[in-house]
Amino acid sequence: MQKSIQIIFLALLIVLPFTARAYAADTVEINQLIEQENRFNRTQVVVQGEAIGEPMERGDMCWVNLNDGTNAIGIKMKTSDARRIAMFGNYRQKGDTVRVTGTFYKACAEDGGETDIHAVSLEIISPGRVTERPLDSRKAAAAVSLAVLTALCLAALKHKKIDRLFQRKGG
Amino acid sequence: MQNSTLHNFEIISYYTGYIILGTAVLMAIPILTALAFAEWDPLCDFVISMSLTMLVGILLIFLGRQTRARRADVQWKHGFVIASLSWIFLTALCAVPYRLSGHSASFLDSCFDVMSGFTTTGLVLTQDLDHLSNALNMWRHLLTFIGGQGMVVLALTFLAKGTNGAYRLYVGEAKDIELVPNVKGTARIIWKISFIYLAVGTAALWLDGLLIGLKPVSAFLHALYMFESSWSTGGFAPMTQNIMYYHSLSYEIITIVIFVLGSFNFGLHYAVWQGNRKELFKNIEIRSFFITSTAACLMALAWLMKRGVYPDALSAFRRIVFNVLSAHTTTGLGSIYARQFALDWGDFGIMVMVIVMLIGGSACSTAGGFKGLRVGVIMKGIVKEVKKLLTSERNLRVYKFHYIKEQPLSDDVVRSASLIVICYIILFSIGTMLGTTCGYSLAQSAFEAATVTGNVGLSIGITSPSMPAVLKIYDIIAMFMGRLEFLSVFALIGYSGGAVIRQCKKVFK
Repeated sequence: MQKSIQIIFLALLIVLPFTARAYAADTVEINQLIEQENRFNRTQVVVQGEAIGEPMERGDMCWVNLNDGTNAIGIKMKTSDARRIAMFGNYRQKGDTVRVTGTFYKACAEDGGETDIHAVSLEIISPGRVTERPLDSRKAAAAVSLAVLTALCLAALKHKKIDRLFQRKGG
Repeated sequence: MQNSTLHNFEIISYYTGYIILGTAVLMAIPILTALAFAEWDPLCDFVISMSLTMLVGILLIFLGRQTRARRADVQWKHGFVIASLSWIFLTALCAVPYRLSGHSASFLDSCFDVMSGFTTTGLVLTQDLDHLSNALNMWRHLLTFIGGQGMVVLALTFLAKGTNGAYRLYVGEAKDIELVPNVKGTARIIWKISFIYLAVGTAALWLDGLLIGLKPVSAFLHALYMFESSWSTGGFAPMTQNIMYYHSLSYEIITIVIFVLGSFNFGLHYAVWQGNRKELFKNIEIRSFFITSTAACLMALAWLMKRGVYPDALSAFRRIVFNVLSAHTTTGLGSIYARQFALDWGDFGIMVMVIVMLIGGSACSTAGGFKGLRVGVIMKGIVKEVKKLLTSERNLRVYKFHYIKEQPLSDDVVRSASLIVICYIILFSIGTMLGTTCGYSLAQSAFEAATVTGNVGLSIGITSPSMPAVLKIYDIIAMFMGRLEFLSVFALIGYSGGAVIRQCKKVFK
């Protein structure tokens, strides 16, 4: 019994990485979509990346921009789907990582020839987070020191009235 | 002799310092932005950069302090050298916040982006645009807005009365139109025109931004950035996808109107505001722009429809007209992906884009390229020569062209226009050859060389942080030379070359 469990466990160990690879292969990079636009045109694709900026709701439909690290693309989806995305990437936060399944159009007639994806389904892979940006104390010290030095230089220039002094000499 | 060299140095140092100090003050805007959005790290970056820039400016003013006392006259050579030297100093100094932000792979990349902003080119090496701070985004777009009008123009606006030779400083930055008899007044009118459009254009884009689903604050920031970028024919955008981020025809139409207006001569804006609306129809640059842009749009439309790139006429019209006009006005906002030029547009489409990028917008505007004025003058010059050949030698006729007023089409005018065009073509050829030696195809190299020479900003996919350093350096030099229309850069090379030769002679004696 123990032996058969061991065999099953070993078999799972061998097979699992392959299933993971096959799963990863389903996801297409945005740059790959653009480079091979004719191959992917009007086919169903899966893209995964960070939702960036903000959603642009236009009635029942909404535009969400997705960046997968290679490039960014506009995803047209139902507003109700877009509202499931809690965080969008910007300076302060990393947006939700989402996986979108949809039809890729290299030049969509419905959207004025735009290269986009019309989403069929949306899956939140991991929630976004607030980006910690602690203040660099050395940078702050350098900023204060340089600001003080600049103020002193400006004050010295004004105090000695160098400009006026030379003006008088010249005039 | 030695005295004269010292005086020249002092004049150049004093005014260069003045321009640097003026630009340093502008960093107060990103500092206020950082404070408003509580972005403490960018706040430090900009305080450091502003202090450094001010210190360099103060040092240069101090070194040339005798200039003011002596009421020294700014000669042509000074004007040209001051303009180009200010741009070089400012490129390095304004790159500091880019580098400190951690969004640039190297200081060279930071300098590339600043030169791209100042020259209103719009090519980008800054990484991860989607996570940039509001302060740095404000700075990027402010640089391109100021660059469009000119840093010298900015300094002249606040220059004290009675600066001798201010006009020569102004011409050094490749602007030569005199809207009113004094240069300070002209500089102020240029800013007045730009600020009125800034208010109207930003309001229009803000309202449209709200309608397309942006939130009020971000709609305002996007509107401000996109106005600055469009009006200055710059091409920067706050997000990776450039204008494609908005997915909006109305947003594209408003930006087209803004960048076409931005590519027109300030003299034309002023003439129209003064009630001279006929100038719109008579001006040689408007006629030249209308002819070349219509021809280019029609050729590209016919070619791409034949290739079946776009599914219907409306899509083709929207994608082609936007990109061709963006290229022709040297704006560089792109409504298709960079690689799609190479993949979809084919050699003929690329050639059309190369030609319009090289022609560019109007003289004394925010646009680059060798300008519609020169194209018009050269075309009229060719017609004049043909007519002269075909008519009797006794028939003496004065040929004219309309540029704000009727002007004689002399051989000198045609020659100087031709010389500048030849300089642009030489610079473009060098860039194309360099691109091919780096392993890119001829069409791609020509596209990228045209985009930097004409200060456009569209890319075919070559411009990236991983491109060869030699190409980055060439691009920086080409953007700089193209924007200042060669003369100032040649003056700087001649001036510094002369100084080196004199020193060498002294050493060998």
